[in-house]
Amino acid sequence: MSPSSSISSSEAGRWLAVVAAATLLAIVAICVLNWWGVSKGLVGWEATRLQREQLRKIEGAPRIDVVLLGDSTLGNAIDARAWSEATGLQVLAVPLTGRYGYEGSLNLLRRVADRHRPQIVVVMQALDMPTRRVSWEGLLFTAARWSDLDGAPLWKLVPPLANLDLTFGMIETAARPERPVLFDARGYVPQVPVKQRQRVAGPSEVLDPADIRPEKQRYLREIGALCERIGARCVYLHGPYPSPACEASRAYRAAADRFVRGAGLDVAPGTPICLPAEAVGDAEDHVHPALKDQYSELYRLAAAAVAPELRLRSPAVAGSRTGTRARHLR
Amino acid sequence: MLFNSAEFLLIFLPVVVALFAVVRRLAPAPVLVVLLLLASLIFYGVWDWRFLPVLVLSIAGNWLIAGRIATAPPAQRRGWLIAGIGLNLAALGWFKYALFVAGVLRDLTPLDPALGAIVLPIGISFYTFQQIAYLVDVGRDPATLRDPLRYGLFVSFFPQLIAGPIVHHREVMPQLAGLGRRPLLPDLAVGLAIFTVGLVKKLWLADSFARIATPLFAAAADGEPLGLIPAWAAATAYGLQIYFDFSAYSDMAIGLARMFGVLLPINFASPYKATSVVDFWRRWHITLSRFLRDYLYIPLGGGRVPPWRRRVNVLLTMLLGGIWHGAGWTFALWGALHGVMIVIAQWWQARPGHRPLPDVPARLLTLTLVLAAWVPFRAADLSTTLAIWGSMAGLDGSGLTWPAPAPFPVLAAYARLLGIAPALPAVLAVLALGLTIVLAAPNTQTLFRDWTPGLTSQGYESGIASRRVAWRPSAGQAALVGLALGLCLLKLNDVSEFIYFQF
Repeated sequence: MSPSSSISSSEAGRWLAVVAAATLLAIVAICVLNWWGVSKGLVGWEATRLQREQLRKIEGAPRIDVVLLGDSTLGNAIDARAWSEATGLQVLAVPLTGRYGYEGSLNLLRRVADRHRPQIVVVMQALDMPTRRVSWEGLLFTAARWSDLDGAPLWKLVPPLANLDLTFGMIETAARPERPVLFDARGYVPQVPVKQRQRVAGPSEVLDPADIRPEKQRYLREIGALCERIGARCVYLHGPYPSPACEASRAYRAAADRFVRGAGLDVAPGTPICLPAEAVGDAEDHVHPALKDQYSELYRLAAAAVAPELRLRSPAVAGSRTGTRARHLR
Repeated sequence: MLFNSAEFLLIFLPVVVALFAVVRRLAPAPVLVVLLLLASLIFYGVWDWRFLPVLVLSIAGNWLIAGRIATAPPAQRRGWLIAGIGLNLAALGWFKYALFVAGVLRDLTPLDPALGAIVLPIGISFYTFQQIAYLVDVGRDPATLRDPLRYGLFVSFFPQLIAGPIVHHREVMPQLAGLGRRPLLPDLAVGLAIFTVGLVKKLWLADSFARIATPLFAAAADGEPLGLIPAWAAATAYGLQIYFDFSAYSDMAIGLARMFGVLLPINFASPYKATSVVDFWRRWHITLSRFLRDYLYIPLGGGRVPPWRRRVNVLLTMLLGGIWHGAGWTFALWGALHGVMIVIAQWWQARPGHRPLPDVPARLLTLTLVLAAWVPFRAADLSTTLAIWGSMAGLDGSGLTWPAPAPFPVLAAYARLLGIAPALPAVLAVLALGLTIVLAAPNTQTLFRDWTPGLTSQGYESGIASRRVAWRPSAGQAALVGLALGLCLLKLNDVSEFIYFQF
């Protein structure tokens, strides 16, 4: 080994300061680039593309009487057009994914409230949503203005943006300017075809009320408060959950109902709807695409129990939609 | 805590460096030893607190036995030494090999040993070897340095605790006596620069090659014939992955230790530039090679025995070296294979009138053999190994269609834009880049050759080449290191363990 060169402490100090500054600069530059990419829908992630498409739907809607907000359990179980047909109201569904949580739903509701005055706001999220961490990325990626961040601490907001996957997503998107249509005929991302299906390990365990995170209620409470401010009725539906864990999670369901009511929303009785094995789609809390019409109707009936405006306009339609599958209702 | 995790980089390391900087102004070296010892135990305990008593017991037990060896009359010294080594090997054997041995007994005999789940304490192979070397040296020279705190830190020092380098007490314990005497900032600057090189190797290189190797080895394990090109791609990708992964860990360990003013031994010296398999082992995992040489091969007789006996000793040493990596037939095969290749190489070189191959074909041949030998090291079992070797021999076609998902979606997207089938060219381009780096780019100790990056080991390559490229404390290089560090921090959402953690 050759003899060691020397470096003075002051020289080393300056060198370390430049390293720190360059590191910070690189991180800030990527965060700004990612923020821009996410806001423009340029990121390759399907989730952010989905978000962009849902925002377009909100911007393009001439009138919204009922808005459905939530995650993929909503997107896979409810067809907004069927609800429109059944109720005679203008129903718009803008489901995102579970990654966005209540936080993403809140900001979407804010965007709806900027342009419309819905009578009813329906929130439908996975049954285990109260047990999940606050989705800072959901809050950040859907924010239209600084106030939408609700004073969330900066150190919580930086990690979702300080992520090169988003940047790579943009580079990848640039190579694929023509992307396939995102939504299927029933208004959500198509499920993975049966042949390619590898059942995602889903939330099939019996849920424990002790796992509910009190801090998760904050943004749900803000949804409730916003509904009150705009004069809308706020209805909450638990997304479907697979049997038999669904039935066995009785204590959790009661605690989750209290959690939602504590945030100022009305819980629709009869939810979650427990899914028998044959009704499960590509994830354990996704309704099978072939049964979406039936489950959409079942959920409408559940919501109508607390929001009478969602009752059937013409009784003739009801029988054809629900059939004998009403037995799945709790 | 992984070196490439946010908790380590943003919390643990800054806190420990800050405490070290403050305490070195106020207190003497022994207090700094206590500080780093506590930090190292916390670092280890965060992995899994259940393993902490195993480590502490191992340090304390070996310390006490070393004391007995040093103070016992010469006639009893050997007995204490054998007991000490036996206890270390028993602990290692229980945690690492008991389930494997039970499985073999179950397969080959009517016995059915009932063993519950045995969890391998992380780093046990490394700290056990370091302590065996210490006991042997105390047995040879009872005056060997014995200070309990420095001994504890020598074994548990967090930069090298989990995956080496396997440090020797003579290298580290004397340095610990002078902790805090060197100026802090220059060591921090050099250490951070070396650490960043390691971080880049791990996050940007090793993990990229894993994206090629992992699905291909998985496909082979599922019985899918790979074909000639994908099979060679799998072996090459894994060879690059394990080199960048393990040498990254060594660089990071060397850089971290340097931040506290401690020099660790160099562990890699451009191994894929080796001109023979013998040369490869002078460049690959140097601290394991020298341990096996000093504490196994030489005690077995080394070069002082007849040629046939020496060959047997080489085979035995390499076989045990293979098994040290893991309890499984694939590791034994890998070790035995290297043993056979070394014996053949030594025989070839010892022939009368032997003329060595020119450098380029010698390197190419060595690289090819070493890459092929990585297959059993990585494969799930022996049958998968044979299947991949079969594919590498062309037994199931050229494999122009890729048998696994395209590993680089961004590259694949652009390849598609150019009208090229996406997987193969992207993979071959990435592999060519990797091979160019290992064969042509300067290694870490060459980059830092003016700043004593690490300690060299007698009889092993230093890997230092004279190049124009060298690290300097200039503003431009600081900006480059900062940019690299920033890009690594932006990749921490995608953290993977180091391969050698499992050993």
